[in-house]
Amino acid sequence: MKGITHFLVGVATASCFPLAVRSAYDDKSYLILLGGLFGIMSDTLDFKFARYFWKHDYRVRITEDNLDPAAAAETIAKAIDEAAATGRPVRVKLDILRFSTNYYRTYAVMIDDRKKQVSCVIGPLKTMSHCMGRGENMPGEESKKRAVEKDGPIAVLEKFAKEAPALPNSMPVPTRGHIASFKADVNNTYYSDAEVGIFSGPDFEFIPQKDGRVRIDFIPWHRRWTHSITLGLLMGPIGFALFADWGALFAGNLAAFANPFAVNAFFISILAFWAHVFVDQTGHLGSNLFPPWTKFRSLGWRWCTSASPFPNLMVNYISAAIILWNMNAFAPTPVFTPPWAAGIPGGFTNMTYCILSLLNYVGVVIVLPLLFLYAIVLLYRHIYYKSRSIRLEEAFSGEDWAGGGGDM
Amino acid sequence: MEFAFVMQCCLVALVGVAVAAVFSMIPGLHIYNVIAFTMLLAFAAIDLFKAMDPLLTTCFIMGMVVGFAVLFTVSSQFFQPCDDSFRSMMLPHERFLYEGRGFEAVMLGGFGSLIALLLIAGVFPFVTGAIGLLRELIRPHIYWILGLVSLFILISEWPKDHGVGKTVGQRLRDGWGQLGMGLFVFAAAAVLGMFVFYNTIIPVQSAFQSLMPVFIGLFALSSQIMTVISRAKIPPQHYASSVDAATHDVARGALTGVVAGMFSSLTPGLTPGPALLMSAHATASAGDKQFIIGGGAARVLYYIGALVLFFMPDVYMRRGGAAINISLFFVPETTEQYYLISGIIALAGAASMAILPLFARMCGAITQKVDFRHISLGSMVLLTAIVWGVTGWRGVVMMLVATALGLVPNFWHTRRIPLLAVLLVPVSLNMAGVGSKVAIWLGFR
Repeated sequence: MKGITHFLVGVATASCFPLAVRSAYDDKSYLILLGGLFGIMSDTLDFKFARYFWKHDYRVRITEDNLDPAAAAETIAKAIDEAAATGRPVRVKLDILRFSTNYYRTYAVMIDDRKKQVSCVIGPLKTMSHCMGRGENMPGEESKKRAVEKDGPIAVLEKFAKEAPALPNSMPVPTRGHIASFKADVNNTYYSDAEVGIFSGPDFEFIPQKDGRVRIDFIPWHRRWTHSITLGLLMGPIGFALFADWGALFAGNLAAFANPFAVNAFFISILAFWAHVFVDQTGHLGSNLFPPWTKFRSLGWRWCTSASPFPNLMVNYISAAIILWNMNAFAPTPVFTPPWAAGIPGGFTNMTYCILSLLNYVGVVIVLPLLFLYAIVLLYRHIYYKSRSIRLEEAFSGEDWAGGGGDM
Repeated sequence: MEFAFVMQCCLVALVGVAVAAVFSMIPGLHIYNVIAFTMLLAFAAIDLFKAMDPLLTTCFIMGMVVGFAVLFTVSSQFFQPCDDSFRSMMLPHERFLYEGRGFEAVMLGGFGSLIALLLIAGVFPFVTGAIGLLRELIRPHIYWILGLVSLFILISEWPKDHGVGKTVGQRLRDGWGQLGMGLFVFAAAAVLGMFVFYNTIIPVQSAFQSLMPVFIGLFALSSQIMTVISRAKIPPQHYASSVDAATHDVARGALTGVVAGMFSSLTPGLTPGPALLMSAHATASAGDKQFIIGGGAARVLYYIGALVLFFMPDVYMRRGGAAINISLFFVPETTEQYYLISGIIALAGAASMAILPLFARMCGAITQKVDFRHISLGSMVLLTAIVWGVTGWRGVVMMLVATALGLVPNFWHTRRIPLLAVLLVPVSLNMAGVGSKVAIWLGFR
């Protein structure tokens, strides 16, 4: 999911702690911010630190003077076989090719696990928006595989390059494509194709498995130890330390040291961190959940991609609704009473009031709007996506509408 | 309310739109500066001002705000091309100018503005209760919401390096050079904001405009300097007879803009920039067109939507420079006044939208006849004169300090959004009740 989604889910998690919300009325603490901070902590650690420590065995750098697709395809094929032959992981980085401030020379690679081929096609110039929007034009994986079977990978990648939004007439003529072969059996854990465009470019790690196959991990430095339940436990003491009264500790007052804010901070930090791991599990990439006991990323549930607009929108909407509910429920005097609970005395101290008002709120503020949104999604799928996505087959059904927007 | 009076209100609102159109020609000039200047003139001719019905002056200011909200980005669109050597990346509307599509960018932004105007004038009157409830719900929480926005600005500064360093140290240095400067800009802007709030050097008689020199320095003057030293060339512009915008682009762009506009208009201290940043992420906005349409909607909802909350029954929220200035002489009392203001917004909005294409063509034509650097140079002189006139030489000193800080993001390829810490941090800390403690700690008290 997107960064803001993790951020809001974290805040929503924190808002479930009454002290974090009630504090707005008396202490004015910033306790609730911990939810946002630890909600996005996993990606902060990965993208601002972990990635810089990652070492590569091969680094592919294509230049505008030498737009050679063989460099990428052959290097990847070689790395796969090297991993199988040596029994050790091999890491490859594909550098981007920045043409100017506005434009990036793109190229796409595809790993076909059935034919044991790596293909690369030099693509057109694209802006950052073009690159980020590519996923919204991509057909589903199965459709892709059928087309590769029928027309070959170069033709499919060429079609993607020509039909996805890009700077017109910027693709090299004639098309520059290359197919390299490898021998090992592979287990690809991500999409079959990836475009090299913006930011720092994708990485791959080829890891020999016990069954003899080579596992292919996309951006392997991502979602390892940083996206784990284990690390989440370590966030608790950090959150606690931020709100603990250290002066009281040195004065020997343990009760003041471990004050209610610090105790709440302990749990908020852990749960907001775990919420990130949980939400990411809905995507394709998965996470390494229990290091050091587990070594690899588990596969995600593949419900959506991180860039999919509607899942992000839905989760953000639900998060905002939860925050607003908690603002009301934990206020000294609630601002509103849902109609179903009107007339029931006792307010939120009365369980019946709580349940009825919550049911009313969930029904009207969450379920109905989301059903409406889902109806729009269906409409979007049949009208927009079907008309805009790249058609590889005559009988295109519009499946996998989320597209291959990449998972982060 | 008599028909003749309503007609007078409509007339002065249209005059306000015309005044805004003239001032919108000057890139970097903010309508709040113009309103402040108007108020100075009004107070100078106090007898004449007192003789007028305050609702007439209110409608005039409303016309100015509506006209400005719709038109003010047009001059920046055409007169402030971005020199790509100072940028890590270009924003979509800047790139459109280089592709000869400046007019298209203006019209796309206009779509967003139109949707926001329809919402304010056509939907708001029916949902005042809900807006009032939302306002009541979030009011005690504004301080941490601003803290949250600040935190997101800091956290969303992701590295843009290309990771080409050979060693870990080189790669960290490449990535954190830009990241670190983003954090520095945020911290420096926050300190500057605390100084302005707690120990400003602006003379007391101009204290109501103490933020003006800082904002002009951080955002307007620094941009003008970058434009003056720019070596960019503006290509001839294409004026299409229709705009290529898919329904889903308009819908998703508008959604982004509406969320950002509502968020910023209901949250004191929050401007549309950071609200749009969060909203664009939250609604998974994608592509150039959605970005531009969202910007248009967010700006209009922020400027006009925030001001209309001042007149809205169930809300009566004084938010933003225009509302503060209006509150000096007018207190809204009746629902009838709110409906009049809604009608004025619809009228002024329609007039502004009608002017928009002509205004854009005119600005586009000017770029082919007048060197844009001269326009920015003239604008710099004018802005400096306004700051000098309103706040004296001390204001100019503040402006120069802020300008120096405003230039930093350009030279380090970071975003300009951390500069908004100048407002976000002091407002948040003050609302949390710790502003003065922090000011003492910083040595400002």
